Amino acid sequence: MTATALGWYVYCITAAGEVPALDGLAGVDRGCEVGCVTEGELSAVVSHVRLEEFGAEALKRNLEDLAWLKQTGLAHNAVLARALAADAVVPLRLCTIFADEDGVRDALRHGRDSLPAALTRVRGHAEWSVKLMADPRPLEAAARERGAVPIESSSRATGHAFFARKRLERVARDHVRAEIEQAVEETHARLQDHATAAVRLPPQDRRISGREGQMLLNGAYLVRRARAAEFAELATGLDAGHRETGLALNLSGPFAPYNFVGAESERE
Amino acid sequence: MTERAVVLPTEREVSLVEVLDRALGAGVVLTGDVTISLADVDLVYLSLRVLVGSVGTIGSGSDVVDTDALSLGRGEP
Repeated sequence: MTATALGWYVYCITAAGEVPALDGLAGVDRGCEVGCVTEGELSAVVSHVRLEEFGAEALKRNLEDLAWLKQTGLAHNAVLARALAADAVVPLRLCTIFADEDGVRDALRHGRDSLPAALTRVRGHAEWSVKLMADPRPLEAAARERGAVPIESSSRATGHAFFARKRLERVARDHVRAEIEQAVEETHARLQDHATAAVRLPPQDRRISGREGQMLLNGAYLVRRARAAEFAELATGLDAGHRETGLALNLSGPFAPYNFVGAESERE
Repeated sequence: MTERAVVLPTEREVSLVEVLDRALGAGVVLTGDVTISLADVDLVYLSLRVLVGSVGTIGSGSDVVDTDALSLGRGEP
């Protein structure tokens, strides 16, 4: 092994011969161009990586380094974005690295039974993300408003009025909360109707998402590419309808269909 | 990765969190005799730790992390 020992980083799998033009595209390791390896019916989009940075030991260290992770994640994503020009793409987990070209070919041979099925499933599709964030302030305002209405006519003594008001506010708050829950369910259902497949992912922790409010929906939708504009329009419309409830909808994509290719693949 | 014109104002670009959430938490795991990558279980654990840790790093005002480029969904274009 010399100081410039190289590994083979695999980004995604396509059907053989369907890899789009990748000219001039840089991989996760700067300066290493992206190419492809074809074995049987499958092609892998690959690039070299220096093992001094992407070897097992270095990886453990680097994955803890946020700046490195950011750079690698975005470079990985840039390759996937380009690869998505292919009609069917099966994205791999970040940092899938083989020792040599034979390793890549082995993996493609091992995957010849399951990967074509995954490719078929996602062909002509892309993944979209829709998140619903709840802003608690409108909820509180609505609770106060609703709690306030009946109390004016029904109470006399101030002490009694105070507790009655509190109770009504609580009831109103529960009511608003139930409405929000229903809005979330309906939103997901409407989006799901326009998608070929859908999955609700665990809401991101506020510390991770960095977003205000509570994440009530973290949905991933496998959408036919021809229907992407329609899907985005639907999301925009749903967002407009939710503004008064204090729900903000966030659409992003298109992503490679990470959440629709199955987490596991080939194991011997 | 592109954004649609109708995308809401807070999502000017696909955030790093979106990308890592997918690339670390989903996608096919290929394993073979010569795979160097970390085991999938390790990666998931690591990713969560890294992401949660990242926010702490940003909050502490560390000069190592470029918070602006991180685009942790703060809603600023």
